[in-house]
Formats: sequence, C-alpha cells, structure tokens
Amino acid sequence: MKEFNLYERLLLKKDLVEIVENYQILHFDDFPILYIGTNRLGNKIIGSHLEEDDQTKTILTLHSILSNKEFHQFMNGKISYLDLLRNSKSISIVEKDYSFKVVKAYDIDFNSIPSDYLPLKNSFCPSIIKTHSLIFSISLKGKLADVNKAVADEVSKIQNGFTEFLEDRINSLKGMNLLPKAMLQPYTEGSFKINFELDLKQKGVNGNLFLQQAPISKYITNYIKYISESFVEDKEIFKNDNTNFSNELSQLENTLNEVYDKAYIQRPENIGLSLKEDILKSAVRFEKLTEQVGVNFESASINNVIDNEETPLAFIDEDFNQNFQSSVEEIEIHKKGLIVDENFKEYKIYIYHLNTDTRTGNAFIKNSNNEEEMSKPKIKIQGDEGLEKTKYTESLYMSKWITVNAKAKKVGDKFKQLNIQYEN
Amino acid sequence: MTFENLHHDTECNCTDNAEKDTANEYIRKLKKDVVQDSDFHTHWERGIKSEAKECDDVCSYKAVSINQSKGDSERLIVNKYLNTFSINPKKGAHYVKFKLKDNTGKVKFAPEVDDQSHYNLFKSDTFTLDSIITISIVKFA
Repeated sequence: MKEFNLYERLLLKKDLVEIVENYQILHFDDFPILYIGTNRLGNKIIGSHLEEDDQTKTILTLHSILSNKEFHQFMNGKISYLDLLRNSKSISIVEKDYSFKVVKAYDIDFNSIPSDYLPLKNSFCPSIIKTHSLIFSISLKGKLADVNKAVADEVSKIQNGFTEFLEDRINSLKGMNLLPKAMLQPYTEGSFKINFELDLKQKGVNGNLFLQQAPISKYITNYIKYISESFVEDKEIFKNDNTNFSNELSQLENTLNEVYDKAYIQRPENIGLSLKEDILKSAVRFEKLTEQVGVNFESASINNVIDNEETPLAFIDEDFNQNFQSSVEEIEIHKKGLIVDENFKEYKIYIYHLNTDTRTGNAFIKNSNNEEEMSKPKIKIQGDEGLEKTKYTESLYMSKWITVNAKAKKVGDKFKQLNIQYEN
Repeated sequence: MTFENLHHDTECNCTDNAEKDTANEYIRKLKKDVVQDSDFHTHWERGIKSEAKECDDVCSYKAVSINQSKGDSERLIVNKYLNTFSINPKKGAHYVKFKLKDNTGKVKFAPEVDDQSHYNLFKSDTFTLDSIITISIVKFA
C-alpha cells in the first residue's frame, strides 16, 4: 500500500466519489473487483479493487467518474478499463474500512498509479449473464435535460419514433400473431427520462402456449444494440442483396431463430434476408430518433430496465447521429440511386435553420411519393443579395411554408439537398 | 471434527447441510506462487464482515471460497481468474489444486450466477495447511 504514497496526495471530498446508488458488481472474486454505481450527484462511477491490508483493516479501491458515452462504451465492450483510466481526468483512490465504508478519498492521476496495479489491455467489461425485459427508458442528457426539462415537440417525436420502432419489430415477426402496444410510463428525472413498456398480446382465441418461452425481449434488446453499435460498421453488407453477414448480424439472426424455435413456430424462409430488410426499414425509423439530438439535449441513452436496474443498449450523440445518417444515406444511394433535377422546379418548403451569411441551412419538405413523411434537406440559396426581409427569412422567423424554385438531389422519395434560385 | 471456532460468535449453524468430501478436487486462487496460511483465511478471520445478519451471508463470510474442479468447471473458473487478473494483476496469477483430508472441514455447494462450481469450505478447529493435499500449483497468467 506504501507505493500509493497516500500521505502526500490531495484529499478529496469523499461524497464526490462515493457510490450511493445503483451499485452493481460487474466482477466478483473474493472482493468486488469491478463495479459501477452513481454518486450523490447522479454521476456514473466505475470502481475497482486495488489492495487490502489486514494490519490497518483498510481496503484501497480506484474510483473514476464516467461520462455517459464512456459508460456506454465500456459496458458494451468498446473500450477497456485501462483506456478508461488513461483518458480519465477524475481518478481517485478511495480508502474503505473492512465494512466497505468509505473513509477517505485521494486524488491521483493515471501516470501515478503503480504499474503493478494497472489493468491490462484486455480489461474489457466481463460478460454479465443478463436477463432482458420489454421495459425501456430513453434518458436525455445535457443542456435543457440537465435541468430536468425537455421540449414537448422533441419528446413527442422521440416517443412516437421509439414506440413505432418497437411495434414494427414485433409486427415483423411473421407467424407469431402478436399484437404489440408500446405504453408510455411517467417521465422521471435523469436528467430527463422517457419510460416505455412493450405489452404483447396474442391475436385470436387460441394462443400459442410456447410463446412465453420465446426470447422476444432478448431479440428486441439485441436488435437495438445491433442497430446502434454495429449497423454503421456493417453498412457495406446492406448495400447489396448478398448473403454476407458479420458476426454481430449472425448473432442477431441466431437470436431470431431461437425466438421461432422456442415458440415451436416454423422459421420463415430466408429468415436472414428478411432480417436484413427489416433492419434497413428500422434504420430509417431509428434515424428519426437520432435527428432530435443536439439542439436542446446533447445525448440520449436507450436502456433496458429490469428491477429498476438499467442496462445500456444505445448511446446517441451528435457524432453518432452524423455517422448513422450518412450510413443510411450511403446505403439508400447505393440501392436507389441519386436523382438530381436538371432544371429548376417549384417546391414547397419551410426553412427551420438558415445562416444568412453563408446562405445555407435546412428546410422541411414533404417527400415526393409519401406526403405524410418529411425530409430535412440541406439548402443553399444562390446569389449575393442580402437575405433580410425576404421570403426565406420570413419562412424562418414566421414558421411559414413558401414556394421556391430549386434543383433537388433526392434518394428515393427523400430530399437530400435543395439548390434554391434567389427570388425577391 | 469440531467447529467451535466457526460457531463461537454466531447463532447460525454454518455446517448444516455441509459435507465431508475427500474424493473431489478443488481449486483456490493464491496470492503468490506458493500456498500460504493467508490464502486460506476467511473474510471473517481477517475482520471483513458483512452488515447483513442473514445466516447465508454470515456463513459465506466465515467460509473459504473454493471451486470444485470437475468437467468444464476448471476452464470456467480460470476464465474468472483471468478477468480478475486483467483488471488487477496484483490479485495473483496462480491457483492451487487440492483435495481435502478427513479432518479438513466440510464443504457446501454455493453456486453463484457467474460461478456455478463455487463451494464454501468451513474449516474444522484443527485446520492447518497440512489439512489439504496439494495436487499442483498452476500458473494461469
């Protein structure tokens, strides 16, 4: 214990690094070797066991505060504990007594941790045997969400987007005869948390007795994990109607097979290809969830909830948003091709973002063959006359639909870009 | 075989349903590459105590955690040790494979979610390191 030089370290307020809620042991071996939880401010903390001393009856542990992104990355095996510590700016040594009560906390930086105690490169989160449920939460963080508020319109879009996403996945299970209904539960703080429960009823009078044992909740949670963690990396697989499958996609297919096998329902033909098609369809729905991130909240985490314990499934921030949207677009361009107007045409748009200096922004426009769905193309207004007091700024400030002449770039029904002819 | 040391400060009967087992092989992780007294000290003996008053908790703190080496269990327990080692290499890279003698104590099957071959060893009053038959010391990392 001497190698930690505790006597010369800066003492910290222990309640900053003490886990007071949501304590969960990730790995136990005589002692809780690796664990997570939250401090009194709700920050996520990861802790690990360093050493114990029978003479002084002292246990030393390492605690660090995690960002939501780091937490998600670690829990999903994307980053090792070593890398978490290496990148952390808030590592502390927490001294506990032999009843595991926190006695003191000391500041330490990564380079001062004795090398013998450093985790190895392969210190990924141990696989935990997990059960799954059909209860989910979406937790918004940052900006307005941090004062436990959210914009009603954005919350409504997330609610609708996620309930449609969940219900569509159940409806895509051919032959199961299930009637899904995603129910909203009361909002909770955290920073702003939207809660859902997916209720499944069987259609008809004669229910399938074996359906209870089909791992539908495991399939849905693995599906959400796949689409948030692996879809972007697998985008090439979705560009062609080939039978290429990544390991992650094969695992999801195996879970889907398990759903059918345990329900004693014959697997649909070409189940793998149907799954791929369904993922592409769902990616468009998922994209709608990601669109809300950035303005009034910084990130959204989708969690599976069992006995009030949350397992992170997806973490969506602006980086994720950009990667995800560009992957969906790339696949769509590859499959449907990019259509560009040769001549200017009339379009009805509503500009919701415009930089009058660069003359660029974004607008809403109804999709060409499906007026119920809207695209949010980038816009560029030609010319060099000032845009003040024009119909463009009127649309922006008065939330007004206007008619413009523009050349559009489209992928399928969706508008991607409008090059607008300046008119006054 | 008596268990007065084990029971002197508790009303729990920890050896209830525990058995003598001199046939099977067991595994215990070591702090170093040799077996020391401290490797078989229980949390209770070290002063590490649970606030919980339930007998299951109390007795698990009064037991030495060991694993029965049977079939695939050795590979699984080594995986667990390797996980510990990757998080904190100071927790040791060796384990001892051993058998119990007639007077060593009693074992009780106590499986955990991620540790299905886990047993609690309740040491008898006469337990010393000579009470175990060391089969081998294995370096796993």
